[in-house]
Amino acid sequence: MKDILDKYICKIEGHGYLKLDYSHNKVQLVVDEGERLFEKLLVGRPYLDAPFITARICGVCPTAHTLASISALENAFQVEVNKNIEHLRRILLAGQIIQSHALHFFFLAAPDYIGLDNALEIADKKPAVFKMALALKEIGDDIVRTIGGRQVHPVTPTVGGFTKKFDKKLLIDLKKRIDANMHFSIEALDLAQTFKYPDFKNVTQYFALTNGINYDIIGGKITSTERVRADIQDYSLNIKEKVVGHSTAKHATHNKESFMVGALSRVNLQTKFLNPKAKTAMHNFKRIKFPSTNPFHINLAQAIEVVHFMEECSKLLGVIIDGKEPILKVPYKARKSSAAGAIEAPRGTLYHYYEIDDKGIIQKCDIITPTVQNLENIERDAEYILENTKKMSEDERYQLLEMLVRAYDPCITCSVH
Amino acid sequence: MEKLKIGIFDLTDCEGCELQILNLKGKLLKLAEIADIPVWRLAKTPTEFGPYDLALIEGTPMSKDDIKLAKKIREKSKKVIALGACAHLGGIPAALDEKKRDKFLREIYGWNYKSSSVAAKPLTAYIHVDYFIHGCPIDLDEAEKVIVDILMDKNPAGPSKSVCLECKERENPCLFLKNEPCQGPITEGGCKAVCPSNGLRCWGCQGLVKDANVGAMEKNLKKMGYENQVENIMGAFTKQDESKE
Repeated sequence: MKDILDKYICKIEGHGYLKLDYSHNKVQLVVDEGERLFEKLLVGRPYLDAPFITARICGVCPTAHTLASISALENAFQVEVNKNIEHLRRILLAGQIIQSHALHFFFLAAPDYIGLDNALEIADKKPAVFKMALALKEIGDDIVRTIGGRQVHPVTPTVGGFTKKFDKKLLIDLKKRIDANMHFSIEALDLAQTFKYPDFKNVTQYFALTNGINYDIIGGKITSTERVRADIQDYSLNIKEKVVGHSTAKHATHNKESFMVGALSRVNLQTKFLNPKAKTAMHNFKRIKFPSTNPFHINLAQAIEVVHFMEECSKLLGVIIDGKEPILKVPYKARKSSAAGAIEAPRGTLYHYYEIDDKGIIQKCDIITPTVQNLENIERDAEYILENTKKMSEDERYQLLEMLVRAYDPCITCSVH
Repeated sequence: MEKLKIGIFDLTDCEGCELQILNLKGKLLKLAEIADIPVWRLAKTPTEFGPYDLALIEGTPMSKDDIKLAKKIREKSKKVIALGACAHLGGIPAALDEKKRDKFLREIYGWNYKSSSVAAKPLTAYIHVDYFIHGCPIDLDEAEKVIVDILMDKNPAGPSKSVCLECKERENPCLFLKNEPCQGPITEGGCKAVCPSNGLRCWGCQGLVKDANVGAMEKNLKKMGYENQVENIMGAFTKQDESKE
């Protein structure tokens, strides 16, 4: 029993472990989850099963999968939703990102920087930090529960809009709760700034969806720091998956090179579009400047995004509350078609692709998750760290590599779908 | 009094149910007053490798390590709870047509790929389970009640009541009458009918209610025009549960 429990890296989502060759600086992140074969499970089912079933790929980012599948299906059927539906989806996805970042930042990654093992120890020794953690996790859950109907595996989002109407009073109250908790997000960012991030700079290509107007997380163009600018429908030309021998998860590359997606990529690519409180806090950073090429700064970028998305939710809720009674379902016609959809999930760009026949049955499905896109880069960064830490003991080097994997916030559950 | 030992374990799955346990938030601190949690991979470094007074196991045993671990946990635990639909029924991963598993693996991973995993099955296919916390994901109130009851040596089983009844208590418009393949009439409640209350049909994730008339559901689905989808609709959860028919 000890052999199995000690083998897997703890405080990450899913089952993975490191295989290291210290003398040759070689690192493999072995992913060992059963293949659930979601892409095949969906074939033969009605298209409306996709938002429900794909949520079950991952309990940490189910809302992201639901919204990505809806985006793909709406692209296929050319559904035009109204502004209110768009705003509510953005609020829901922002809530998902706050939930996930708060969980990862405080409960999984922060103990590495604070010098404790886990959240219960934080509760015991750093109660103020724990209070912050609970408040931010709760407000993220609250947003997803209020709009999505449940904090894990949402029930309200569907093709064409939402399955229910929202009482304006609920939205007004939600906005009040977000505003009342805003200060916790800023305090968390202040805390994140004080962490001693290991000093490794390893340049890679950073990918995220952007639209050139704002820090959007649904749709846009596939963009990179090396001037890639591609349509979402061309995702498979830009992001290629390959099977690797040591992992039940595939690895994705761009032009055969590793790259990074997620919070750090997004902040690196569009710092200028962050909301004012996030931006102001960043201006006050004493030591760290963005864009950053230090993978450990993913955790700092998560804290920046929590502030940004708290502001975003408050702003968008304000727009809906001030507007007319929103219509939250638009009519559309399912038809024989195919399309991709993409959104920014907490860990990076998430692609869903469907082919639908004339009876509305799914004929083909393809899903590329953020962690599949990051795995190659994690191994590359890990090897870079091994090369540059030869004076450290094996144990110290191993600890540092586990910390790196954790900093990336891999969702191994997602990566084997 | 010596503290109880609780182990929280995850096999192959989405980890949404253990996240729900984490979502108990402040209540977990209360639990920590009477119990230690020496093992919880998602949340901490493991410190003790048994014995446990209580083990919560989430997920379906699919990888070799999953199966080995599930058996070891059983050996070392006084009581085992299956946490969530995957552990209870097999859940969404078990809705795959297993006869085609090899073909599907080839199509996704290619001819050279060797999988060491097996088809998703409920935990009971491998080990004896003492209690179940239902749902995909589990309902927080039910989880809390079951865990507290077990820690107090009470039997957590309450009276069986369908999702349909819980839905009617909330005066929701009936989705089944709107020709949606809602599984509420044959599904065990306890979820507060969260899906139909939000306009989504019940998928049956809590398993069958006592004396469920599965045959009648099947017949009705066919009458409603779902002849070709009965296996898909019921294969996700309700047909996986053969304990209460």
